Amino acid sequence: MTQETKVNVSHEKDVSAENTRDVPVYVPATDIYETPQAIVVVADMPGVDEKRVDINLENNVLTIAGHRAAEEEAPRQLVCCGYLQGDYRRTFAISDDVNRNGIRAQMKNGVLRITLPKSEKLQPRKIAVEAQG
Amino acid sequence: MMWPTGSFLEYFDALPELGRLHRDMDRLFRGYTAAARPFPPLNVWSDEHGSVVTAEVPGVEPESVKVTVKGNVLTLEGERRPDDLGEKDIYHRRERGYGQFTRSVRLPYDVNEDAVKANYSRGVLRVELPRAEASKPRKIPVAS
Repeated sequence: MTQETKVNVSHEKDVSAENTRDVPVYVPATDIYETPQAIVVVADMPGVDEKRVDINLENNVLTIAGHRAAEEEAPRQLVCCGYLQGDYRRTFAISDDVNRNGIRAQMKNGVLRITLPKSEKLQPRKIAVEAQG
Repeated sequence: MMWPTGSFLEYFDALPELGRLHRDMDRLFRGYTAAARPFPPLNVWSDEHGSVVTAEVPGVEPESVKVTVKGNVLTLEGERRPDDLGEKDIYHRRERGYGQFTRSVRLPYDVNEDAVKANYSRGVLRVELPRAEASKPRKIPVAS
C-alpha cells in the first residue's frame, strides 16, 4: 500500500533539497506496518523536540521532517564523533485510501509514530447473519 | 618447481585471502547496511575536568537503560523493543533494529564514580563523567 520514493536507508544523507543552513540531512530509519484499521509509520529521530517536527500529507506524499537543535558541550571539545547532528527528512508515497482527518502523530523518546487510519470502505466489516425462522 | 606431496592446503594459507575477501565485501556494501556500525553511536566531549558521553538511543524507556562506571570504563546497556503487532498486522518495511545492546568505552583516566550523572531526553542519553581528583594533572612548581 505504501511505496517509497527513495532507496536510502538510515543515516544516509538526503540530497533532494538542500538546507539553507549547513547541516546534514539524514533519512531516518523507519518501520511501516499495516493493521486492519491503519497504517503506522515509526521513525527514529533522536534529539528532535516534538515542536520541531513537520508532518505533511499532500497529493498522497507524506513528508516527515525533524529539526535537531545542536548539542554543544562547550567548553568541552568533541574528541570522538560517532554521529553527526543534522536534520531528518523522508518522503513516502501513500495510497489514496487514508482517512485524512484521523491522522495522529506522537513523539516519544526520540521516536515519531504516525497513525494513518484507513478509510471506512477499506476497513474489515463483520456482517451479521440473521437467522430466519 | 616440484610440489611437495601431501595436502595442498598445508602449503596454501587461505586465511589472508579470506580476510581480503571479507574487506572487499565490506567495502562493496558500505552504506547499504548499518550492521558494521556499533550501536548506540556515541559522541565524547572532553576537557581537563572530565568528559560527557552522548549516545543516540531512540525508542528506549529511560528506566530500562543501565549505565555503569567502573574505574575508567563506562558501559551502556539497554534494550530496544519492537511494537507489539497483532496477528493480522504485517510489516511493509523494517529498518529499525531491535534487541539488547551493550557498549563500553574506555576513558583515558579514572572517573569519580560518585559524581557521575546520566539523563535521557528525546532519545539521547547524556552521561557526565567527572575526572577523579587523583587522576587530574598536578602542576609541579620548579624551584630555582
